[in-house]
Amino acid sequence: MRFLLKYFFIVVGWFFGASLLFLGPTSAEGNTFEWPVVHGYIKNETAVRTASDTQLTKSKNILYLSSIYPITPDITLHVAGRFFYDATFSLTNHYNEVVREDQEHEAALRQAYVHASMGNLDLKLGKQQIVWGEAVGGLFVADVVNPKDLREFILPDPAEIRIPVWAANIEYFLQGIYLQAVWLPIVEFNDLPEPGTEFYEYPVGFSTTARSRTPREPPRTLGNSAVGIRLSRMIHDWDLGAFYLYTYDYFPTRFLTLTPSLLIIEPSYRRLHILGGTFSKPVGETVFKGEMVLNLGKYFSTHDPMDSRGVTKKNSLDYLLALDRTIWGRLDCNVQWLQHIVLDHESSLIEKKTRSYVSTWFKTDFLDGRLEPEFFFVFGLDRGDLLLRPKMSFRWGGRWKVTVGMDVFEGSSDGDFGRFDSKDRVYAEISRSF
Amino acid sequence: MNILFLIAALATFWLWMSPQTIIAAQTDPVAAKILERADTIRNPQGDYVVHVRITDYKPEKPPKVAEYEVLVKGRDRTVVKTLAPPLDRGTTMLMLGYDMWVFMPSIRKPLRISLQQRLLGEVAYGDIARANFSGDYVPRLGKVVERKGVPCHELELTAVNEKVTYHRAKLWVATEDNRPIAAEFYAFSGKLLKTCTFEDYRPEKGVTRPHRLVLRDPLKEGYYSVMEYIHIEERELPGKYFTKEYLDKLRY
Repeated sequence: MRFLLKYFFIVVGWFFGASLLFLGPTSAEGNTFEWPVVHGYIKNETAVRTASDTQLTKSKNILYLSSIYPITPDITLHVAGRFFYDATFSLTNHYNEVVREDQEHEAALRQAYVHASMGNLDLKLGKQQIVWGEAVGGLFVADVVNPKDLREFILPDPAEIRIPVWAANIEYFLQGIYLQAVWLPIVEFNDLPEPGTEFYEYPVGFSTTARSRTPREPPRTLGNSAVGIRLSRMIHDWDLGAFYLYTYDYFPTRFLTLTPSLLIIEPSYRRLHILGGTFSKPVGETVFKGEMVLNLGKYFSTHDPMDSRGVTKKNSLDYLLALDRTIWGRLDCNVQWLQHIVLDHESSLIEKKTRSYVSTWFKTDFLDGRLEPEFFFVFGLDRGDLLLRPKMSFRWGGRWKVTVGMDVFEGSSDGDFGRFDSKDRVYAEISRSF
Repeated sequence: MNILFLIAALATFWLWMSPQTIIAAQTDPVAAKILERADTIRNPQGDYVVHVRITDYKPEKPPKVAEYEVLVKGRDRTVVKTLAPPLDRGTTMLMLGYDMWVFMPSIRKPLRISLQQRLLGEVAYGDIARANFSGDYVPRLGKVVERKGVPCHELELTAVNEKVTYHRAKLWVATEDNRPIAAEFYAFSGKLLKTCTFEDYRPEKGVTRPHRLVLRDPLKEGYYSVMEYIHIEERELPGKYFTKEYLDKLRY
């Protein structure tokens, strides 16, 4: 327990230490120190796998703290941190040491940035989430700036999946036009499940006798930073956006090296140009929305013997079309169509030319908003696999929330969802907000 | 040629007789002036920030309370920040004209939504965010009647377009000073959706305004919501606050 207390006090300590560092005059009271108001929640998430051998797979205890401290009327400090401890590793022996090290406990700074507002110009410097796109339900298309924590696949909330990045974020608001420029001096990459974790899956298309090395990240130099721009504008009731991001592919490219006795997979990260656009438009009570991303120079694994390293460069297109509507004044609905297309596809590529998905989401409430049933479903058309996510939340006292639900994976083992067919689980969460 | 002329004539006649044209032709200047005066009494007409508490009552159940900070710029730009309860704190709604977005901390991006989505109890987002009747409705002056013991002008209000929260409304304003006393809101079908009374008139920086609205469901006895204006502050608000890109930067 001692090391847990150590991490707990580290989180709380830097949280208040960061606030104390910015002691200074408040907006109206002069040199008066005010303790920052702290909000957050404490939460337990417990999950039990129900398919194949039933076992406890998660018992995570989470403390989340956040605060905003006004340094001057136009400059604020935003700080948030999260600490968790997963008791599964104390209660069971299901996971190996690598997994324990990766997932047993974590103290993370979720945001730490200074926001300065200067007329029509806003500047955010520090650790933050930069969110582009219109999609919901864990289906990320235009949400390209932040890498993702995929250790639990796409099951956590999007704000939890996104990994905050150190960035300079400049925004300019001008007469209905919005301009944004971002610079990420240190590029971070997707956090992928370690072998042995619940949602680890051996790379599709590779022999299980191949040896995979740890992904090699590029050196953290200015030359390896990421930059991007975004423009957004309302034209009549069309909400339109366009963006460009020069970054790295946050998934590693699996370069192959063939030795006399062994095939070695050497993952490393490669540069990527990303062009994209978004739109939304209401038609009556329905909101239509969409987003599109063109990845230029993305690497794909191939069986072509002419590509000695086992990879080839292609361009790919991802797009999403969605509609949102509230039916009978009570039932919120969303339907999405998503497609991923490899342009100039060749038969030697391991990945298929297209992957298509349909998703639906429904949510309503009963008992004066205290009971909230919710249902999310996504179906992969090419492989006939699916993910079902029914859940029920109960709210009381304005602070407590209990959620019970299921995550059900079905279908072909080479599908994005079917590959977790044996990982169906039921879960319960209880949280108290403050 | 004769057929084309006939189609063009019919099309022109149809456009001329379209709902917007009909409504415009029937605008009553006296009623319009009374309605504008009522709006001026209800809310400041420039930029302002108001702290609102909504309490939802149902028979034999403890009341539910939510608190919001509402930023208003002009007639058609509103931001609603959810302050309480803690479970919903951080949820922010933006209304630009009839377009709405909601920002939720768990998603961290603005999502476009429809005006009909509910806020709490009998209060729709449109109730809290659409500050003025004039601009949304065309008024027609009716008779003088007594409401809550006060002689009132009765105004028949018709929505200017289908995007307005309620298709039709009736508003009673005091003949003495045009302060709103009561209102009724109707669906397109003619069904009475809710009633509203304007209460607790108190001076606020030299202007006497209502500080409490009581909204009732006419079909459900004992179901009502109370919207209290805790504090109103008039101050200039930057235009960028009313953009979807600023929703994650608003201070809580």
